[in-house]
Amino acid sequence: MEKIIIIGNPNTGKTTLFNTITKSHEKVANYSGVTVIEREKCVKCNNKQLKFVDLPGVYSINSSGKDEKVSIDYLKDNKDAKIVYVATTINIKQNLNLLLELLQKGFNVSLFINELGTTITKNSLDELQNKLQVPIFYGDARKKRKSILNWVIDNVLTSLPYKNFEVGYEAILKILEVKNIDRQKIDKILMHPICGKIIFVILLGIIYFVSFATFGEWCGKIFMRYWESLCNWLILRLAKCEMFFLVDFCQVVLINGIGSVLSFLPALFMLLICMNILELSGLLPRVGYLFHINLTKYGLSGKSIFGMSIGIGCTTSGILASRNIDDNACRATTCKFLPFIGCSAKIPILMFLINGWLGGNIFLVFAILILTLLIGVHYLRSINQKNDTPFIMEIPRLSMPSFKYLIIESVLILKDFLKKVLGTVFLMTLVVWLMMTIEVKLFGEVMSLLDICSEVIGVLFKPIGLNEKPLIISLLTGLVAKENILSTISLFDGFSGLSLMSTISFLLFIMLYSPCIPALKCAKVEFGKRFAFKLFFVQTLLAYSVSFVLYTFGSAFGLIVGFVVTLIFIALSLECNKMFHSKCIKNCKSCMQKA
Amino acid sequence: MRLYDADAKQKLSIVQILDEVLSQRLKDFGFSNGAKIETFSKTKEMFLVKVNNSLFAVNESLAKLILVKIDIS
Repeated sequence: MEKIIIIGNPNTGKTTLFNTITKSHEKVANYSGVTVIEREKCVKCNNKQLKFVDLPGVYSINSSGKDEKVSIDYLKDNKDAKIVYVATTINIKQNLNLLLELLQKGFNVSLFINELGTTITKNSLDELQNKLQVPIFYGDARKKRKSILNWVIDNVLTSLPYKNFEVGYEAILKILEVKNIDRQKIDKILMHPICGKIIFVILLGIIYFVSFATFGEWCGKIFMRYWESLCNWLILRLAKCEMFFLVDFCQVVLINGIGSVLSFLPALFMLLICMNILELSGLLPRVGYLFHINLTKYGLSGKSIFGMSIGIGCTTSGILASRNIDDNACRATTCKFLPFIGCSAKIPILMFLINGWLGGNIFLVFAILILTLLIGVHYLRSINQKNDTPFIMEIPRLSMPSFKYLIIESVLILKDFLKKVLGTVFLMTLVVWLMMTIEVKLFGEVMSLLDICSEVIGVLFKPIGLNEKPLIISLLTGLVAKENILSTISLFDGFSGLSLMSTISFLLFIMLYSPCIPALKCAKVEFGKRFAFKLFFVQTLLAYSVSFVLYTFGSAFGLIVGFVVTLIFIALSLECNKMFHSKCIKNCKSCMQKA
Repeated sequence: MRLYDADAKQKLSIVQILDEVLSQRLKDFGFSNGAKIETFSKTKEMFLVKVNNSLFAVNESLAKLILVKIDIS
């Protein structure tokens, strides 16, 4: 089987080409560093089996970025494979740098010029072909799959590598006639230091409002009506067959448990579409540019925005996406901040509890999200110094997102969410339901397995106002996947909430405590065991202490006093942490060596 | 290295790049001798620089390393 590697500079359309050829639906977006791992897929064409490999973008074979290293190592291990090098018409002069490097190193390279933003004259193209003497395909990476595949079979597979490539970069530049593209006028507003920030904050507000308060809420209700009728139809059939055990299962697990999570599906779909518009249009790097200076105060950078945006969908993907940050310390800080962002699993819990137990106040949702973010940034400030490392980020041209890609991208993320709900969440809900059903005799008393479990662990949660069995168990199942929290609470029929202080304490605990196990595993792979353990420990300790202070003072002196004392407590404790941390940095061996 | 932007009537010079990795990265981005460079807006501590047809956001600490404006108008 012939292996064909697709490589090129970041944001040139490599994954788009890979998707077109292999009919895949891998994530694409309009900024550098979207692909961070290699992907392979086989295609059969003209009785030939071809294996296409999509690699993260690289600027040079000497680059040291974490995502770029993946590509460079892969190329070194597959020196004999055929390479399709992707360049864009708009940036061809810059893109050809790496192409020449690859040819000089003796790789077997063919050139795919992706028509983007501008065109290249036929003259230039012919001259380029004559100079380079490599197969060239010129066209749109999204179209003409058949022609591209034919070109691969007829030209790429038959091409031979150079033994000694001696054409210089200057010689290539002379023959290329590329129109100079002016800066887009709308950028003057979007990238204005004040207007740009205001526009982005308003945009974010609209996204959340449309997703959760209007469209999401209406569609969620309609969706639930159909889900319930489907489950009720099943229940009737099972009742007729006298399978009462399964009737109970449908009632509790399918309608209450899984149904509660699924009711947020339309809202999440809307949120994902909006976030994808930001990613595909090229708005996200502009946000990174606008907020870079603000973010550096907390040890983050403009590129952290990409990880955060993906982190809204899933923390695990957010950790992976942060690979495109060059600076290791900044990358680690971005991952430490991700648990403070309300991910697609946490927001439905927030909505459900506030709608059900606190009178459906949408502003309370925003208040809790903002409070969590504030705690997050203060925490980062206490452990980091200002990030003043040299920073450079490519700003892509704004483009209209393709409707097809927009829907595909959102459906794919939604598919992953559904897989999780029907896999992990369903399994955990089933386990909890079985634990509720199975009863054992202990010290002369008949108790369910769940009762025993919550009695044992419950002691730990009493100081933060959580005495109820559903809440304690949900926090444990939430460690497997955050969606489990909602499905577990919904399993307990008749449980309609608790006091105001306990609810707020519970909400804050959920928003702040440890990320789920898959995210911790991902953090372990990326940064090591110690980092993952620290992430778990620090987040849980922070969540526990904040909930404890708020519950204790809030119950004794009222909600407002509770909030004020909590804020003072957070400020003081993080200030102490800062002092301890800076002292630690001063005495740390590596810093002494640096000094 | 000297870089010249005809439109803005400014000479832009790369003065010192001590870090080899950074130097390589800038070269990869097209920040090299003879490349057309334009500096657009400058917000507080941030620069927008256009090299060939690519737009880059550059922070002040990097800008200090690579760009020195010499007004010749």
